Amino acid sequence: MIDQKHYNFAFLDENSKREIRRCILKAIAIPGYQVPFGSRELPIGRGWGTGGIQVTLSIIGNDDLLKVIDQGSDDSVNAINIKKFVNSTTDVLVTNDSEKATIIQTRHRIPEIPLKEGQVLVLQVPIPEPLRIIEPKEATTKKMHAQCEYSPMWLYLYEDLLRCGKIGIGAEYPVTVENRYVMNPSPIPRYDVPKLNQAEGLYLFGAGREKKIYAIPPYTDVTPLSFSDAPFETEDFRGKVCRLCGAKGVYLDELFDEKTGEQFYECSDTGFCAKRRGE
Amino acid sequence: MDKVFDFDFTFDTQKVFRNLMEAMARPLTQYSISESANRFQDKNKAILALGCTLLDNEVSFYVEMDSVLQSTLSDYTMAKTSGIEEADYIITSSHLNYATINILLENAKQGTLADPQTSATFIIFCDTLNGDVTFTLEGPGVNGIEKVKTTEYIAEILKLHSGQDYEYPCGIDLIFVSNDADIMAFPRLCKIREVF
Repeated sequence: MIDQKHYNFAFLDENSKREIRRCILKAIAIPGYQVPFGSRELPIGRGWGTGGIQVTLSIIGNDDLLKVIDQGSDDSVNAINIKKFVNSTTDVLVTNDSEKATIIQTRHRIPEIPLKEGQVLVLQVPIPEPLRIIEPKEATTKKMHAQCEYSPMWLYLYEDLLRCGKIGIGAEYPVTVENRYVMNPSPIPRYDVPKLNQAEGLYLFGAGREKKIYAIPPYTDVTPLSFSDAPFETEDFRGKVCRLCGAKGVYLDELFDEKTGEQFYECSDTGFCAKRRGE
Repeated sequence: MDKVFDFDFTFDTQKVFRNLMEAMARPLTQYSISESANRFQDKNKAILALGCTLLDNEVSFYVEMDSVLQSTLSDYTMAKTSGIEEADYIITSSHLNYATINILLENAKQGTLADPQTSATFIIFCDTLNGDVTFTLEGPGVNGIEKVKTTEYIAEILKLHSGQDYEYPCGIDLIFVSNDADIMAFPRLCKIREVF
């Protein structure tokens, strides 16, 4: 049983939090740059959101209200377990309302309602390195970032364009931050990428397995990589509505009825959908 | 047994850090850490609050011309003291002349293109953060171009900082802290221009 009787507030020891906090400040000062940190062991396997959890545990305090979502859902196993874990070691209250939450930890989605000043969105990141698809060596990608040498990335996108007629990257679409660093926005869909640009809130990214923290401060230029004759496009949900709340123009999950084969759509952001239905 | 301070290394450091994080994310916006800083009975209470939030045995620091503060911070945090060139945090506890500040800026670690996070962070004491010198401010964390008012002392330091012409991502981040335990930050990517 994990609770405050047996563990420090927010599970991590103070030295660990302090190191992560120092890295967060550097990450904010250098938007899009991956700051290395000493990722700690947690009672959750690496690859299950440990980077995001460590960031959340390092910033959370008694006055916070926490929301955790996984692929937009407040009720998935991963989200529920993270909420239980943080609550049991901090007594911080949790919510499904993204407008009330002060810290939102998320995997693979950004809530529909834009962040406001004072809100922090913590994203869990499996592979923080956007250049990994073109270069397997960490030492080389580090040098490429240092020298702002992103031509192989552009070539990759161009080849993709030639092969498929469009850039085929779906989730974790690479972006440029403040015209300097190419950054992986974590596996969020393309639909969510424009929300990072000139946002009111603060975005923190934690990759536990890869031991990296990076950030996008408020009002920062975040531009998806694209060509002038092949502009960046988001997923197209024209003509589709959520069958539960009737929302249009939001990110929808496509579902099938196993028996009838009927295809229908529901809001991916379950908190947003429930709020629209007055739940 | 008398307590030297009531500062809580778990809860107060968290509160101070959250204000610091917001300050770094919103350049030259003031945040108050007085609630936590007042738990120290020391004239440098705000610097101690920041020091105890950021320093430990993994980092080094340098205090300009204040051996008492240096010794206190070392005792409370177990952080190593070092020279200007190696220090992760450079702290000033009084108003210094601009030539001294320039020497500190010139000699502090700027990080490297590959590892810009190895740069130094300055914690600069000021009597107050409020003044009549007007600047325009732009960069990450700033909504377009904002007008900011501050003191002549801070304005001069910002000019000296700009004068270093760091090659981004190398650079130095500044944290200003006042007598009243108000803080504000100036990360390396921000740009200022004086309005006459």
